[in-house]
Amino acid sequence: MKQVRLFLSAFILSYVLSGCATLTKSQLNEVNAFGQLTCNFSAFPGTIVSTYNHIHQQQEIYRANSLADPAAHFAAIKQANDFLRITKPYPQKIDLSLKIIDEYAQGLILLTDTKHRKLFDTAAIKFGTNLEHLVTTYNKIDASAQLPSGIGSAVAAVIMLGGDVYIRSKQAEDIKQVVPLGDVIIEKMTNNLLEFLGAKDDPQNTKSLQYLISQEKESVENNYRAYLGLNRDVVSINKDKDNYPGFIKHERFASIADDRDCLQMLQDLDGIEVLRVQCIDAVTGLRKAHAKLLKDIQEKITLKQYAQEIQDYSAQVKNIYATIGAIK
Amino acid sequence: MPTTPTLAQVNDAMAAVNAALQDMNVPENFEDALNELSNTLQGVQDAIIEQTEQALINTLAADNAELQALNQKIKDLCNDLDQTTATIKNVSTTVGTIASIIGALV
Repeated sequence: MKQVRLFLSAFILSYVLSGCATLTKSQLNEVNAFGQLTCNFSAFPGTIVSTYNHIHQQQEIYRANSLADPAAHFAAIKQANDFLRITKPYPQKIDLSLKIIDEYAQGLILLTDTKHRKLFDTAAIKFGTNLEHLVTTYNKIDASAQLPSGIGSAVAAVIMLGGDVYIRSKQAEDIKQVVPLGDVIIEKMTNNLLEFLGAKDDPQNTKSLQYLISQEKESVENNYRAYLGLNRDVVSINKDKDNYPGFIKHERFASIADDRDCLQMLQDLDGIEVLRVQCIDAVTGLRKAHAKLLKDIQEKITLKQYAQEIQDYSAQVKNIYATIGAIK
Repeated sequence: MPTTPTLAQVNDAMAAVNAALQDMNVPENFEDALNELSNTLQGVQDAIIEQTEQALINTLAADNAELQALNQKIKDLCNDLDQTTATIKNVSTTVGTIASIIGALV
């Protein structure tokens, strides 16, 4: 029994000592929650560009259809095709940059995963059952030196506790090493993202996404109006050896489907503008949440709830999901 | 060196060409030129959009390598954590198995 007590004491001592290096479960959970929210973040800015490019190509078709000359008409369709071919890889390129942030988030999830502890728990339970069996067998042989029954499960519980603390201590060490490094890079990358999204509200900046979207609305209107008005067809009437050249002006009667197309383009442009603004909020939220995460893991505290910054970030990400769902 | 026109300027020019194409007073021999001008303006518009998007993408990619290096470090740490867990589990299982064997032998 003395040895068992020593064994238990050693585990309790290791728990107390290693406790200094661990993060509380709530802190690990907060890191995990941040990772979960940030995963799949990459799809958002890429969606803005892919939707924009699709609308641009679609409205080019309306312009092509307003040109009566066959050669010019086909050249316009070819241009629409060239535009889509050239810009097709762009959303993937945007996603590639953002996927690196996703990968970082997934890394944080893996580092704070409870799977390691669960695996260990299973082994400890088996160990406890075998030890219990050994004690029972021993007691049958030597009735005078009865060992206390239930010691197996008690030892297993201590092993689980010790194992849990050890793994958490290792996780804490890793997180404390990674998150400060990540914070410096996240700051740079979120700044790049905000520049990409045009966070500084400047409608006159001709190199911004905001400007592209606003001008596309003008372009849709121009080309749909050209499509509705169509153009002139050349006519040539010969009578009594005389030739009478002239024009016939078409007024196109647009179908409901055409109008729906135009409406959809305008709605999608509105949708990606909303998405752009929401992405700015979410990227700003991501930056704040990561900075708060860094602050929280540097202190030994038990968090009663996730930091307000993470809750705000969560709400911003949910808004984005709703907007993406509304874009065709 | 000529400056690149803005999308607003191209849109204004395109609106003027579209209006001219619908004007009955524009002579026939002008129509070909207007068609060609319309397509040229479209080409300019497409090129401006492509260049702007490419520039924005380059801005985004500026710090990719740094975070990629950190991600590799995280992967290594995760592998270490997996190995540590496996080692503890193996020790626990081995001790449990020995206890079981001794129990059976006694």
